[in-house]
Amino acid sequence: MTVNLELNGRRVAWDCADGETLKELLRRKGVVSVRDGCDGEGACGLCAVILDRKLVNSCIILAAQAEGSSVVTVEHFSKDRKLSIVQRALVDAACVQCGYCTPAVVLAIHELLGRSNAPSDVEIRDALSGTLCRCTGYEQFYAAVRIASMRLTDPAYSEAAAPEFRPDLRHVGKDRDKIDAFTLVRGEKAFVEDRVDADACHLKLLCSPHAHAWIRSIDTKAALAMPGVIAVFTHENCPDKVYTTAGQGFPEPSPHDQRMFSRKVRHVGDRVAAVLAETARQAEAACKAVRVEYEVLKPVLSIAEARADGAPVVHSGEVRYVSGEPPEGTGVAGDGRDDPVVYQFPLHADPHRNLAASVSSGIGDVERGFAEADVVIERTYRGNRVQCTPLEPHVVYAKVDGGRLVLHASTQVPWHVRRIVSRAIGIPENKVRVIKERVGGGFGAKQDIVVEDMAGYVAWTTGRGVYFRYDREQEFVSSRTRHVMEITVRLGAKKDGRLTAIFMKLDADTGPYGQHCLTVPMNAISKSLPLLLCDNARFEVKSYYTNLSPAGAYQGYGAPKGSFALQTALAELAAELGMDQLELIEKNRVRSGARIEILKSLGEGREGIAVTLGECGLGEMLERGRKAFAWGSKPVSDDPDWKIGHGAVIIQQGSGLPGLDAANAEIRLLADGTLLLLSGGADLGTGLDTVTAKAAAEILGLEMADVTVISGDTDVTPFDKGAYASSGTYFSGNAAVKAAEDLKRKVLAAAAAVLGEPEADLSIAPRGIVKGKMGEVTLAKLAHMSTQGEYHDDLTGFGTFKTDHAAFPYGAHFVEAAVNVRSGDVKLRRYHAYQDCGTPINPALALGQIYGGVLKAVGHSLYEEMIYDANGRCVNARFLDYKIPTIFEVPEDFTVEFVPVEDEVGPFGGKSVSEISLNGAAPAIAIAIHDACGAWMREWPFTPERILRAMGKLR
Amino acid sequence: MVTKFLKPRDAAEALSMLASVKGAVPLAGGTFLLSSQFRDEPMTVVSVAGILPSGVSRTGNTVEIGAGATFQDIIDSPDAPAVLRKACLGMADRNIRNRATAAGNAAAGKSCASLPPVFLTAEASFEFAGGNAPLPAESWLASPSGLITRIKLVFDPERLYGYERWSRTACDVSVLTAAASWRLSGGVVKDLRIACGGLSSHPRRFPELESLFEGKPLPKRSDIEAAVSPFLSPIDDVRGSAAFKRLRASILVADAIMNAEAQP
Repeated sequence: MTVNLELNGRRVAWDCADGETLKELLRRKGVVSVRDGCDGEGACGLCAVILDRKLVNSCIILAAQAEGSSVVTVEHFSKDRKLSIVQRALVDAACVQCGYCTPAVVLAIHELLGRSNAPSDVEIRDALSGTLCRCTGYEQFYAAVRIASMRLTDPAYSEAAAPEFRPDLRHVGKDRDKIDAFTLVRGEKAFVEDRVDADACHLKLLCSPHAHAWIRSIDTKAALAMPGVIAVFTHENCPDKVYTTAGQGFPEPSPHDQRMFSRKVRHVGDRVAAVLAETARQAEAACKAVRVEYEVLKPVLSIAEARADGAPVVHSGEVRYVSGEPPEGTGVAGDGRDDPVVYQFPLHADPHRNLAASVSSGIGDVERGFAEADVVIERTYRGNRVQCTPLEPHVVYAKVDGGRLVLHASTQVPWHVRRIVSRAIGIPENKVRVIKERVGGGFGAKQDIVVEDMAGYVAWTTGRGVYFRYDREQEFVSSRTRHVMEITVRLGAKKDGRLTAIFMKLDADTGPYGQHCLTVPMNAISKSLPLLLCDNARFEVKSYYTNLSPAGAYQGYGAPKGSFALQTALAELAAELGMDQLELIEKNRVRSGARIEILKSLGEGREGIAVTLGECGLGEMLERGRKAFAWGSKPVSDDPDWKIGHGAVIIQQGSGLPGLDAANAEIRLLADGTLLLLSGGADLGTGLDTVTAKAAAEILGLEMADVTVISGDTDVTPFDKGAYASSGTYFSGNAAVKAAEDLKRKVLAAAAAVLGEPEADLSIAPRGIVKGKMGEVTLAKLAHMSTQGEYHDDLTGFGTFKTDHAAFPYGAHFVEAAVNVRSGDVKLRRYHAYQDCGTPINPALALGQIYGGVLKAVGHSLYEEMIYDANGRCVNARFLDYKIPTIFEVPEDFTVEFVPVEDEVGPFGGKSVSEISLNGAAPAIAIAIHDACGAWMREWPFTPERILRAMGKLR
Repeated sequence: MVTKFLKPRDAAEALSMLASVKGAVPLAGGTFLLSSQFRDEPMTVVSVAGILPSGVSRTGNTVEIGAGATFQDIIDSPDAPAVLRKACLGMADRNIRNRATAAGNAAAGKSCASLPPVFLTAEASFEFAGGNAPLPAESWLASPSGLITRIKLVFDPERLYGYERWSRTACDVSVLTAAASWRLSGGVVKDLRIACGGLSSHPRRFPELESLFEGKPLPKRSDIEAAVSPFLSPIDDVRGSAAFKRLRASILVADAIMNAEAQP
């Protein structure tokens, strides 16, 4: 049929199928701003359009239903590449992070302002109610609407999006436009899905319906004979090698235990077969035609089941060690049927008993410490499985170009993708190019090579362009989740509150494969224990294989669960001692000049080093929170059903992996005096490219517009470890600093020769002018001379950053929660985050990182949990039943304040900012709930049902 | 998955199409029918948008809602009573409210649908295309059939009306809903109507609860909760255990009764 629309003021008549949705039609016709985060469930709002002046989700409207209608997409507001009043306001308020939801937000606000030119907060919340955003925490959207609204009458209106820092610097510590914001706010091509060639084929997966089973036989003949089918892949025709999907430095501290397709499936959703066909529907149909006979095995569905005597064995193949010896008493001989498990070095594992990795260590004499204590408490905390839920799911476009494999990837780790894919396929790295596109949310899930190995192999073997995108259910069950952890904390203290001993026992569920199986649980310890000064501390960590969804990296990398356990236990100890919670924290917390001995036992795969801390901002943070919350005098609700409580915690993170990782950048001075910065860093929406651009502009006396950043392209940019472990600003940012300083040295040397003045007399002044005592020369002139072969060589700087220095950001989070003691409902009345990220390089963007991190953690604490049935099938693998926060779940008073303590190694004194933000919500909310209603919440999420059970109101 | 889209000129033709194509279903806003949960089911749809009335009006005590009125249309209408607007606002996602229709919400056949509990406590009746006799909402919800054109509700100025819902997050689907209407006469509760969603296969009135309080002085909230709880039989599912839902629904019923207000 033909559908007639007025699209962005232009009449169009387009053919469509009866069942084609408006979203599908618009995308097919090249309207790329219409995104998709929920596969047509109507739950995410990213496909929003304004249809006949109303904001609607185009995924649940048939194109035919729109006949004769007016349709407005964000392209309407991006004419001539200018920005509308709303687009500009979103950039000014630092609301553009990954940008995947941004076009929908633009439309929602335009539609709102069309109805109400000075909207209230209630109206703003209502207008944005249908748009899911996982990055921003929504808080800054209110400012964006206010700015846009004010500019309706006063076009010159402006307001500061954040406080400024470092008055001695021109760009650093000041708000500047995020350098990819314009592209994203205009809804232009930026993501993997926008790079797919018209003749690309589609790859679809046949997923396992069983949690644990052997594939007895698999018959692909019928599928291969179906229309449009090009190839079918199974364990019978894929490379016979195992690898890890963890995007970590090599050799990885994760077992190589995953084959592209295995003859054994280990979780519901595991790979059974993949079909490449000319259309997505053909590939889906052919998947259904693959005949599989399974030998179903009893699954392992919990940590308790995994460690039980006689438990089913998730990995029964041979266990090999590339270096080192197997732990004594562990079995290594395989059953001759399953794939091998290969450890690069020992992780104290015993896979045939489902133990993927373990570690234990500590300082002092814990038993003596407990014996000396006046009070000893022991509590167990459980954090359930949560999903990263990037709104752009895992996606890749793979093709062969010039005899090489090219991967357009949505990844946090382009170089690890290159290495792992090349080894999985069996081709050298010089035959693989990875181009990191804009990433529509990563949050750790895209630190793993979840789709690139298979798509790369299929493209390499067939020569066809291969588009492979997880649907939302696959994203839930087959990408990466936060490990389930059960953490027992034992604390001993004197009557005055001084800790005498700490013991943490942590059991984790890594799922069917061991990516990050040791490092994530270890981080739960290494980012919580060092917050407390105690001479006697010990930990035991064990990570078990199960047949549930794969676990992996997720923002915070284990730290949120460790923080939940230890900080809540500390509060429980305070209650036991009859002490104020903050007083107990104050007595034991890390402070300026403290020697952190526990770090000796917390090395990342090597001997750790005790550190003497420089300045620590925790004291000021606690003081600010104490004052803002009038600590000790909580409000009383007018409604007897609602009880109000306060909670506070201290938190920390790291800034990259000292001694393990490295980052590089190259910077080229172009002939007109502008810069091309080639950064290895992988900006996944956080603003890392803006950090590196600022470094270059700051050091070379230029404006931000003078710097173009190309990042994360393995052919073009130099190596970078990737975006994980809170390393972006610290490592990639510092590499850019070093590259700019290298170029500056060369520029000054060249200018000295041109001007005939000593280098010591020269400096670079805005805008790109080298000034001496007698003369001056522009960067453009110097660059032009280099291209003409005059005086000096090409002006290019190179920077490498690696360090053994550990930089810790700290934070204190305060919560005021109201608990309805009849219903168990919880309202977050106030959430204050006081955080130190050193110098905030982009203050408003850093605020956004914190708001977003906190709100994710609020979701984990109150709503989110993957739920499995008795057969290991996740029963809520969709946004309809896995609830992530919307704008309605934002705390009523949501405040972030910086308490900067500059780091001597960090770029301009900067440290990491994002991941730490997730470490406070769970314990702070749990403590506030207890303060309100007397119930200790030891399992997250703290659903009303769990709260009522903890209160004894529900059995 | 929609395999055939039919666009009738009027309600009569829509009825004819629905009758002549086996399995054909009427399509209004589509927020339920077109969601991906039906992606694998071949479907013929008959588009009724634009051919059914969509206005909201009030004549005396009677509020008339066109079957094609969206949730947002109802919220925006000055003729919509507050309790009805509250029920519509329970669907917190504006994008959905801009498409989801009043009749579609009833016709989707969902146990936890937002609006039917209000319909049931406001003496709602459904009118149909093709001249079929109007039916009380309660009868129709128990055995749906026919193409709804209008919903008529009666809001007696002597009565008080309340509505409550529970969902996990604001934009979640309603997990449990409760509506109540009653009047106070001689110090006792009279003509109490209680309707709930999420507790049975479809939203329905609960006469067994109504009779607990009929003709008696208004009890305390906690007494209502305790009294109704044994009569509620929700199921365990991903949204909550039966025990929790029973407790939560008891609270909703108590609040719907106690928070009820006149609808001027």
